Amino acid sequence: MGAIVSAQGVSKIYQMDSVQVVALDDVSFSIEDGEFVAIMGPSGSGKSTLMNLIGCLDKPTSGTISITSTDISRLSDRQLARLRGSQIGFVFQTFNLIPRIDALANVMLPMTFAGKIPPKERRHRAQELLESVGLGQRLHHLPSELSGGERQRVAIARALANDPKIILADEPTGNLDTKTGKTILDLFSELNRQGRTIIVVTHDAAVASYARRVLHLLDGKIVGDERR
Amino acid sequence: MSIREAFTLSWTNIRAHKLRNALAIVSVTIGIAAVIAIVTMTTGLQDALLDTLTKDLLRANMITVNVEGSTGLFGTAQVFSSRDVEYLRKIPGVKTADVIGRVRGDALYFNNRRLLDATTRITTSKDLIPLDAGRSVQTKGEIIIGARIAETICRRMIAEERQIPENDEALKEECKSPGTKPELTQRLLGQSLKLRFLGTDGQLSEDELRIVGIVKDSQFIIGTACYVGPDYQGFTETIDGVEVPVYSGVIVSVSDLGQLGAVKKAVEEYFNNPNSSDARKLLGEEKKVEINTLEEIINEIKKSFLQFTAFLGAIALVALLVGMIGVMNIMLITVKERTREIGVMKATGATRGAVLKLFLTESTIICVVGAVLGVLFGMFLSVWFIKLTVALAQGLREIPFAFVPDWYLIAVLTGIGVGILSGLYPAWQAARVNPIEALRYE
Ligand SMILES: Nc1ncnc2c1ncn2[C@@H]1O[C@H](COP(=O)(O)OP(=O)(O)OP(=O)(O)O)[C@@H](O)[C@H]1O
Ligand SMILES: [Mg+2]
Repeated sequence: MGAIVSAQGVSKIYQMDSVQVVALDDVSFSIEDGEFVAIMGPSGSGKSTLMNLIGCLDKPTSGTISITSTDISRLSDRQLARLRGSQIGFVFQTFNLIPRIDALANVMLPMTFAGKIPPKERRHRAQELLESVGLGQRLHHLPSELSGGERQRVAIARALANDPKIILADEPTGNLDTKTGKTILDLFSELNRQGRTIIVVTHDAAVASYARRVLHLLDGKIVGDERR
Repeated sequence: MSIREAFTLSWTNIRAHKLRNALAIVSVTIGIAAVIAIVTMTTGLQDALLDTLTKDLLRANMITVNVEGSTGLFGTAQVFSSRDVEYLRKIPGVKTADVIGRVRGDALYFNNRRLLDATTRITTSKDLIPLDAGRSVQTKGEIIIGARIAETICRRMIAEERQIPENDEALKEECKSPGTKPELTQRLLGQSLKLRFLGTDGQLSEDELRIVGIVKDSQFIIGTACYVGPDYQGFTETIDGVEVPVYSGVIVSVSDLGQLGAVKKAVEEYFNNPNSSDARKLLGEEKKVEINTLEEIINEIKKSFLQFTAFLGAIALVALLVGMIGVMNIMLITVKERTREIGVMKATGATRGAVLKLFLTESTIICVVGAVLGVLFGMFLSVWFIKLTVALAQGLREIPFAFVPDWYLIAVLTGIGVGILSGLYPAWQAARVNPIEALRYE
């Protein structure tokens, strides 16, 4: 299979008044469909910046990023939003659920934005997704009525809403205890077995051990690419 | 994202901040309610006025001739001479030309006590003045009296009979609109009044008058005016060396509605010509003679009411503007608060358009709910508005409540418009939120 994510000489430079911050410096790599990749590196090494580029939330200062063979710098804002909606599922460290609506509605939201799944099927699909992450009994709980681990599982169900090829997770276990974190990571492994590409940013070697490939970042450069 | 989905989501968001959004709704409600209350009131007033005018006073085949001024036919300037009236009667197509005038130096007495408020007028018309009871004046020695005067007479009679004060509250109530109460009408008709007046010769005379009719009790008909025949005419002017009686207004009726335009034109020509009419000679260049058909009077009234409504409406619009700013303010706060959520929505596939739609829907819901409540509250408010106006404006009695469906629709459409306007800037702010910064936002 071909590369699902590819970066060619990607740099990201933040201009702050007179100072330039080089968050990513001429990074090149490619990730194949179905890989489970961890991105590791110390704080400030550019991990989140790289995630934002892969997630089409930002465009590189130079170089090209392609998602499913599409160069994202060529896409309009609207096309980027569509691409995010259909191909990428985000999982955040702080869960980022909408607090006013229940688990089911949170999972349905990306379906509403993408409009890919017919409205009548959305509720049913959201319910199935929540069941698949073990939350069949929590459909109508508000985020505030759920534990941290449960919230993260809702977030994973939400990330799967439009059946994306890629799951991007930035420190998904950062706010969870080790045990709960493990269930989340098991979930990622399961999703990976089903054929989804998983990219996880982490500090934690234990988390990275779930991945079959680890990219090491330091000062905006890739300093290591180990496969297991 | 469909409108329905945006609506459901927005509604959830609105409900999450009940107090804040309720206040925003109220700010719109007040503006819309003010507009609806004003329109309801002025429409009610206009309807009542037009009703009296078209049903009681004037008919489509009439042309009124009077000196320009607010009191129209019943004004004080007496410039239309008997020669003018004679001329008008001879215009082809004219059925009748009747006069309205004042009795000179008039004083009216009942049981030798003066009726202080009463004014006595002259009319040659048999059907101009609408009556609640009795009939119009046919000959010398007869009078029809205004509703207020009828009340005064009634009170005096009953107070004397029962030996109670005339200003007794129950008595006042009992004697209200006596022309509509058969037992009071019976007592009033046939009573005699004494009229003291100055004749054409300037001599003070007295005459005994029998009450034959009671003028209709309506807020646009002067309740203190009484009417007698032309025999008591006393005002004269000397024109071209000849002394002629003069009147304050003339009513010309045409026999065939089709001739209305032609007759009106002839009347206008007569009064515009500086040498032909006595009225023109007396008025000089100073004032115009107004010549109107019923239709023109109605249009004129509608026009003045429209101006009046527009003026008050402009004030109400300021209230609406304040409401709009209130909604905009709330929406800006909402956008700021939800910055992080907007980032999440964008990360999960929301386009700028979707975010824009979501916030516009929210402000529109607030404003439409505000507008609908405003319509209801405005209808309620108008009842109080009417009471207040009636209390403040002399001579006004009740104003009927009017339904103004067109305006209800306008109000709701305005609500949508205001919602979009007030939400546009905040929604645009939301749409251009940078998702990366938003997700970082604490
Ligand atoms: N919007 C921005 N403006 C200016 N500098 C930025 C911006 N975003 C990131 N940076 C800088 O870019 C560098 C990389 O940041 P990034 O957030 O990618 O680090 P990270 O590896 O995710 O760190 P952490 O593990 O602490 O999350 C940092 O030095 C950071 O200060
Ligand atoms: Mg980071």
